[in-house]
Amino acid sequence: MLSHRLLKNLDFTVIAVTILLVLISLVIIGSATHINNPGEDRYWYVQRQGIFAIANILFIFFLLHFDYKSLSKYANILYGVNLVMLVAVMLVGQSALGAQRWIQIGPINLQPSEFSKLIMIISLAHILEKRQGQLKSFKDLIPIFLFVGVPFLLVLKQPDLGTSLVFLAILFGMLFIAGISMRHLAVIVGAGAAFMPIFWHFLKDYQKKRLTVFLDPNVDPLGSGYHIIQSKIAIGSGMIFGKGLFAGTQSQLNFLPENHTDFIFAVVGEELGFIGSLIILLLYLILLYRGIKIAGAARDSFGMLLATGITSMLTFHVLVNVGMTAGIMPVTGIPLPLMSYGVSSLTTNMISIGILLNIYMRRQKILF
Amino acid sequence: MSGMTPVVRKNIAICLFLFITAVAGLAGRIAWVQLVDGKRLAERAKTQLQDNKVLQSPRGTIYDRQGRELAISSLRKSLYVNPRELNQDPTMVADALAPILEMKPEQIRERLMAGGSFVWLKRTLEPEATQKVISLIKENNIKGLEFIEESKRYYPNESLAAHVLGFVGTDDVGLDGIEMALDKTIKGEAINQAMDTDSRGIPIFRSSLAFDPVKQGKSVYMTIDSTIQFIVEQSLDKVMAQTQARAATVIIMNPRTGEILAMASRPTYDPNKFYRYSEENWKNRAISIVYEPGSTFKAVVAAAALQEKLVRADERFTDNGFIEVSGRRIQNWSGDSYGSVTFLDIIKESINTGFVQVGMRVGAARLMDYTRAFGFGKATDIGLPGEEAGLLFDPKDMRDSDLATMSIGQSIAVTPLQLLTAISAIANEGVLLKPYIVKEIYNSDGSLAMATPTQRVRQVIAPDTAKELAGLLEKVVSEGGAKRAAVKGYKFAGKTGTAERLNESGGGYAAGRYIASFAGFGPVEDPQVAALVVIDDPKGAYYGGEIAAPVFGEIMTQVMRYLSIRPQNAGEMVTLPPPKTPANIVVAPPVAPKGKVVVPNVIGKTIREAGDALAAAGLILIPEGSGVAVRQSILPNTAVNPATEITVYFDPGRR
Repeated sequence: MLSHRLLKNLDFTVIAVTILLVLISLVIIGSATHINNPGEDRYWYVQRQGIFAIANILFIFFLLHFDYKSLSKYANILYGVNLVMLVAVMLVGQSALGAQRWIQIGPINLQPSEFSKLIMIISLAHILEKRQGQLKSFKDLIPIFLFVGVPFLLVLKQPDLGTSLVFLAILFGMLFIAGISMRHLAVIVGAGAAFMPIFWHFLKDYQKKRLTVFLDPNVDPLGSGYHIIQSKIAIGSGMIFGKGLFAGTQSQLNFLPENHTDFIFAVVGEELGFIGSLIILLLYLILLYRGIKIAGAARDSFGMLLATGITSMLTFHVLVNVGMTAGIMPVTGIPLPLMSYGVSSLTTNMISIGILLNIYMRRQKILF
Repeated sequence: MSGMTPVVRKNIAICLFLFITAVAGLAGRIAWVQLVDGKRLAERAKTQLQDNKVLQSPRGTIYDRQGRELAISSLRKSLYVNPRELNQDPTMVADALAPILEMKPEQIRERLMAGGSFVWLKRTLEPEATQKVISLIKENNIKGLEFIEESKRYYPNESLAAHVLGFVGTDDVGLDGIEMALDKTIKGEAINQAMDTDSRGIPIFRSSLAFDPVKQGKSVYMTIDSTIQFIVEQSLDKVMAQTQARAATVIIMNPRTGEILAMASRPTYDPNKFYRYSEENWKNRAISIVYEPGSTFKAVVAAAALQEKLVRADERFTDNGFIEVSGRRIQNWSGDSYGSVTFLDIIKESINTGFVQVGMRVGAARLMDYTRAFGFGKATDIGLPGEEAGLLFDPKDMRDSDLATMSIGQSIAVTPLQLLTAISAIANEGVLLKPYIVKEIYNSDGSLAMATPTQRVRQVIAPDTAKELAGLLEKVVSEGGAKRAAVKGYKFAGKTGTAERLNESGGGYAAGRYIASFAGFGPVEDPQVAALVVIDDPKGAYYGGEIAAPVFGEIMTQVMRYLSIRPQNAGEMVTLPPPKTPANIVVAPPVAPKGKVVVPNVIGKTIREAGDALAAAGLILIPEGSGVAVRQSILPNTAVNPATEITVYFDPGRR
């Protein structure tokens, strides 16, 4: 059993924000999936998401019993499992929307690339911890890039451009906190920019279109620009106070595609208005603020790097997802953490937050 | 705290700053979209939500003066595709639909694959085709093919009065004739239903597609009598066949009221399939062509001279066979000279030289005043599209030769309707009436919206003058050049006309091409009908007295009978065959179309007999009056829906 002292050290702000976001998400998913319309399966999405949320809370509570430090021991195994999963999805995966991202295990469709983000953070924290203070030259960085590069390319091959970009965000966030020199960072970013045209060349047409269409969605209003246009219309038409819960025409009448997954923020904007959007953004800001604070408060480098990686991941997701619904980011299929429907994503994010709690809870050296 | 170096501390601070900046930026963007752009985007949400589907309630019915249907609207299903919802291979669907819709597969395929959520495939399908499409949809479980009920116009009598009625294009827009002139009035209410639809364009409330047929447009009663119209159409067909003319027109008018009883032209068309005919066929020649009236205009010249007391009927003139006016030689039609003749003879034989002399007496200014007073040079405003005004000289510019030619009906251009209106003024004791063709308009609830009154334009000549002239014109028929216009048993007045056809390219006459005409009215004691027959460019005989007058006589014989006008000179009365009404001329459809029944002829039957006959056919009798049936609201041999109400008028006096 957890000691009273450890429980007292829990970050109740993070817990409150997380639960609040999950509860709000259940309502919004309900709205997006027409829970108010008669129909046999109308509770399916909400039920499923809710069950997984409760299961995850229990699982987090269970995990809190173990020191996060023990993750370090499994880091390399997890890394291996990750590669196996990513290869498996290429071989036996199911496609959706032109990409192979799913493996079915029993009744659950798993999206390995969601979990691979967290695994990436753990294994990266592990090797960076060992190399802390040794990242002085580019030579020191090469193994790290190779370490991230392999899963990165596997995910990119699926193709899941969004997740592969999350890998990069995690990598840079962690390198930054790990103390890589600004000069190196600048060179890497510069090199990355120089490689962009080659990278671009390997993209599929639909990816290229998706990446650029947000700049002017009206060039293809019924094709790749459709999502962006409808999403902007949804958010914009919500105006200050929104159209009311379950009353968003864009979402209720299926103008807004993927409204329960990637475009859930547009439902918030449409039905709850600017006020609702602002509240959600504030909750995320608090979560991210707490995440970076937890990184700073971690008792060791592993914890700091872990918290940084998790916070980087969450930040990237929130910025790109909300930016996408508001028409200032490309459509890359990145869900909104804790809000978008999807059990793989929910589980990954909740466990990540559980790890943040674990790190914070054990921020002080235990002195007996 | 091994991890917390000062560098890390600094980096964490930088991260925090970046987070707050980024989220604030995001909030700013959201604020822009929702607060600044919000109104515009809300508008867009609304527009894409609402699919404006114009629901047309049926167009108002057009009846003849007796309440017989001339143009009716029925609801037909129109097929459209919602390409976003289509769940089957477009090529397959197109191939299956092509024979049913009688369209090319490629054309259908193109529409099936069009963007948006609403593309018409075919409007107003026939019921059989609708059934076939419905079963096709069911058998193959096709989604995305939908129907909307639309109003389709039918002209049950086909080409009968086609030029008067006009026709209706898609979207219920009247394109010609009374359909066009009264388009706004009879158009069914366009229920511009802004239906909320989902992203696939499916109305959220499907029930809103249901029609409310109560809101039918206003119905119109024409002055046209479809029996008289039918008589005219028959005669026109006959004369066109006999003379191989290019075109022909007949108008019949009630000279006492100005009502047009019939108006028909050749070439004609079937307004049900108007698109299969050329624009030349659509032309209502009765009002939209101008021609030189020739000798028929002499009636107007005679009216002016008599009114001005410049000539007496028994006054003697000398005819040398020709007359020269300012260097222009005008001859008689026959080329003969009649020697010493009275004015009556001049009228009877239509002697050109005599009329030139009479016209010179009247003078250019006065003749032109009378011409205008008779309504020439100005459209009658009958209320049909495409009416011409004709063309008259400015009297100041008229030379003597112009006056001379005008006196014999040349060098002026008139429409057939103008000429008949003028002739009717002579029949109507000198009072010019405004011709009209719309008798009454009823609101959809049955209340009277408008009734056209008889509109007196002016007294052109004194009643005595008119009567005297009518008497002279009667001699034209009974003794003069238009004997073939005579109607046995009745005294009719009239005037023939033969004019050279104007060159179509403009300037001069077309050699060897004529317009033969006859204008007349009767019975002279109390004129009931006035009519004009114009035959354009006949082959062979071309004199008005030879080809136009017989048409007039034939039509009037039947019309007198139909109107039950008591013959004046009973002694000359001969047994006539019953009038050729549609009742016994139309070949009865051997079998009624599926789902329809044929209306029996109940004229002459008692109420009980009529009721039995109608009941046997599955129809409902609405009796009016008592006695013997004299009229029925729907003509015999018309195919109608079962259980249609047929109003039958009974008259006790005609037992």
